[in-house]
Amino acid sequence: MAKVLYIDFERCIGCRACMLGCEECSGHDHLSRMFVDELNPGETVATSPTPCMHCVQPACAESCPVQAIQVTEDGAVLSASHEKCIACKNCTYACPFGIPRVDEQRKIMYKCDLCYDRTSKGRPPMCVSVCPTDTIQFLDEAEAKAKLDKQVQFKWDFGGTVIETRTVIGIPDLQTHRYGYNEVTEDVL
Amino acid sequence: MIKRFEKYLRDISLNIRRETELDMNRRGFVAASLGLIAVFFLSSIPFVAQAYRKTVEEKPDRIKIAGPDELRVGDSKTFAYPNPNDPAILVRVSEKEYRSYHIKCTHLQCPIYWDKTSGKLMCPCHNGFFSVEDGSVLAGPPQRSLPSIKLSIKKDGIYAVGVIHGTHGGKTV
Repeated sequence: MAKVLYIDFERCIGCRACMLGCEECSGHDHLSRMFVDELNPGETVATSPTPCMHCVQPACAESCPVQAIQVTEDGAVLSASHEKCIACKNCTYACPFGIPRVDEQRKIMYKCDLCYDRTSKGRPPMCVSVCPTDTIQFLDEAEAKAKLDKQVQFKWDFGGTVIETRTVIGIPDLQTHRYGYNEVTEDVL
Repeated sequence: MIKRFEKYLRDISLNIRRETELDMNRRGFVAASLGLIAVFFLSSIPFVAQAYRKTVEEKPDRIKIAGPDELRVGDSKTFAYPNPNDPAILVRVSEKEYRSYHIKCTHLQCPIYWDKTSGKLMCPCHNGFFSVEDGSVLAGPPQRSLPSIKLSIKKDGIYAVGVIHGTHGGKTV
């Protein structure tokens, strides 16, 4: 079973270690593929890491005119192939999550590819390795999508277009307002 | 069903799966194009066969068009052959020689008549002239000779037995 990113928004402390780890990775040219967003600047200091959501039907790859963005067999959506990418920015317009960026100097798109060099060999992605609070975890897909101790979301409705992603987001429990790690109890189910 | 069809369309139009990347490279595209050409070719075979059968079936009947001395030398007679909408003319050019042609002018299909004084077949619309000897164009806008009708002259009359289609510009075959 393929492993996916699981991101628990509640645990993020905004340290930006994931961005640093991503920048330092070989081949990333000090351009982070991971973004840390302030959720509501001025109101709260809450932040959340935003990696590639690795959609089941990636709009970026389907909009690419030269098919530079490819999906691997285990579902990871790769960054643009250096030979093919023409920096047309179609993917940046197509992606509803705003993940692909274009390096204007080198005229090439860059985005998170789930550290495919590492994950294909069984290692977790760099952002998972460096996250000090376990905000970003690397779990089995089925396990992450069936999390019992927390509400998770992996289907996103953009005005009627439902996009299913492989990256799973754990969202705050607004029913009981419990946070952190919890034992699975009967009343939650 | 609709979802599966959409997935199929996505699969054939989007080449984003890494494991199938080479199925849709340039070579695959060329192979698919050649396959499409082959499909078109094969699908045209029934139509070709039908058209061929039609041409084979078109062996015109043998009909009697005039009596043995119905026409005097230099006279003509119109008839229709092989179908009622194929008007034709029979001309007796000498004691023993007859000529017969379709009279739809090869320019714009005006009816041609036999001009006895000049000894030519003439089209009144745009002054086209045809030779009575072989149906070839002598003057005017027509580009093709007239289709001629094969005759069989018997004791009891003159029979039309077939059609020789006109050729471009020159003599009939």
